[in-house]
Amino acid sequence: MNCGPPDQLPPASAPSCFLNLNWDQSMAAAAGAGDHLDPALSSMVSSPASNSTAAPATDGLALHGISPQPQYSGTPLSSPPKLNLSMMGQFHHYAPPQVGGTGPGGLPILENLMPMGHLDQFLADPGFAERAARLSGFDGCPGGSGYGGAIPGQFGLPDGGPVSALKELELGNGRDESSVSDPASASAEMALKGPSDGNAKKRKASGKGKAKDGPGSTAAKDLTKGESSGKRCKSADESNGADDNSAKGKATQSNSENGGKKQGKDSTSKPPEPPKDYIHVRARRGEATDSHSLAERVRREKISQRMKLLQDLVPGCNKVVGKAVMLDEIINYVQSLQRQVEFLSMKLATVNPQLDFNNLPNLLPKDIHQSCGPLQNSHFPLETSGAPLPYLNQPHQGNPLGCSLTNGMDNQSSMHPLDPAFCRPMNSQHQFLNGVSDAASQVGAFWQDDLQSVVHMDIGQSQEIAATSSNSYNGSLQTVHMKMEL
Amino acid sequence: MHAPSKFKKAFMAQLLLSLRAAGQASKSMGIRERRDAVRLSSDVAMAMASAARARAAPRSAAWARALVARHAAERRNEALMRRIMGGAGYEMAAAAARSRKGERSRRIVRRSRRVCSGAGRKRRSSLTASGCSAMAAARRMVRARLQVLRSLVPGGEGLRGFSLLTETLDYVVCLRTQVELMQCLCKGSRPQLG
Repeated sequence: MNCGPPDQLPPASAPSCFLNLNWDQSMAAAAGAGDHLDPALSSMVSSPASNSTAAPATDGLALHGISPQPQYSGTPLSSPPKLNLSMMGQFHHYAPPQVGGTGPGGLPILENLMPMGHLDQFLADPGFAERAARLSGFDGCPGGSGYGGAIPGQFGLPDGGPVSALKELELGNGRDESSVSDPASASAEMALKGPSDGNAKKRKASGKGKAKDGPGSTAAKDLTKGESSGKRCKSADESNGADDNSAKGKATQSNSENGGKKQGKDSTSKPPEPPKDYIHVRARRGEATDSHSLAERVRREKISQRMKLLQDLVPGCNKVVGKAVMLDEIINYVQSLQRQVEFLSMKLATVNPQLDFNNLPNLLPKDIHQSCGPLQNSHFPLETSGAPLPYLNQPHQGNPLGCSLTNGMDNQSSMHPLDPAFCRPMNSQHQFLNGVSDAASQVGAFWQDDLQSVVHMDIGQSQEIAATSSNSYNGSLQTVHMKMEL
Repeated sequence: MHAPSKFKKAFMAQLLLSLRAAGQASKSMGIRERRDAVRLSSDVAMAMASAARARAAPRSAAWARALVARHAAERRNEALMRRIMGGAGYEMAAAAARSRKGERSRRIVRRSRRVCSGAGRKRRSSLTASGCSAMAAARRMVRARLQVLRSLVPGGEGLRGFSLLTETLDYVVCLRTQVELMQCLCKGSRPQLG
């Protein structure tokens, strides 16, 4: 046990120091427990290569698989603690020949081990669980009281109590077994072994898919296993801290156990989909772990993320340190923008007294002629510099429509006028502007020529295109059309 | 990269449409009224464009609704807004404005409740002040600024930290686009003056 896990550990520790931490604890805790398990586990982890390749992915998944949904109970998938139990059970019965015989790879071993893990009926049996809890002597486990409420015959365990109890039973058994003195524990082992053998054949078929995820589930399991009586509450809370990001933020002690189990279960159901809508929050050492402070931490983290986005958005806000000053900057910026809108509307009202933009296309050709040079000059540096944010494009020194047009080009960053498909979007854009401005058709034709001349001036500078970009351009224009119809 | 340009185009189309409506409405207006009309129509265009964007991609545009409702709350804007948004749209906005009034009264109730239970609050705050006054002061400053931000962002009065910042983010992006497009329009209109 002591020498086995470190083979798995280095890859596992990279994605999650959290697991690592628990590993260390488990090391300390189980040091006395599983002396005789050493050969078994080390033989099981006989191929560190395969484990090391498999472990990072599955560990990452085990961490990422923490889903906020509370239902984990009804599925017949083997959850890691059970697997743990089965493995330990095997080790108790000195099954190393079986383990060693399965081959050098870790996966076949696990595949063989997996069917043994379906001791669900036993786990769900309240009487057995009570016995187990008594045997292990760890009455301090918080879920233990809820264990009696487990529905008999159900496959998934409805709460973490039984799992923890049985886990501790395992640890206790490990200690006891060096001198097999306790008849009750022996009987419990017998009870463990019997049904597992009986179920092995039955569940083998279903065990195939799960065997793939063996390393991850073992890691998750070891994580939960690592809770000794002394550190139990703390590590439970830590796993709690890692798990509890559900929107509800409800975290109870038993929930933490469930979290560990959920984690493992999601790792076993890895291929379908890893859930994404959660935020990973971890309670560090010395941080409060009750549900309220966890929720508060989640909230604060979300807020700081928003603040970071705003910081990117608001100019001159990058160097500012401190929330209040940053908020000041944001307020100033919003106020200045609002004032600017006010000023611009005033300007627009004076500049264009009739607010008559119908004649805009009449203005346009002139403007395009004027702004052909600056348009390109302002257009291409922007394109090459690659603004960090799409909205950071500075307003162009052109007329309004040219501006929107070139901004579109900027953002597509690849307009190739040589492509005949390009002319179509241009025409449609032109049509659309006509629709807006009710311009006469001859004006439109004139204007179209101008636009194309602009476009042809761009030819020399941008030579690469994907046909898809022009298509998307077209598509966006059509959506504009549709909005216009509204 | 793609969405903002699309949004900008939609916004431009909306802006031109609503400005045309404002232009038809403001034939015989004074300069001040015309300015208000331009302001209104650009705001409504911004709100409508961002609401369309919010429909396309699930995101909140509470500020857009609040902005339209704020404009719709004023009686004199009715004709122009009807013209810009259409009758049904205006009715919805006016209904929103009326419900906003209810919201405001609810807020007043909430505030008064806070005042009523102020004794306990004060005791607590004095406790924290005795503990670490610097942190308390910083928190107070942040709270005051958030209050200002709440008054700046339309519809931000009822929001709290995170959602307020989200709305601010969206609003700032749209406001920026609005400024940009209106600058373009001004530049495009200038030759007529000369």
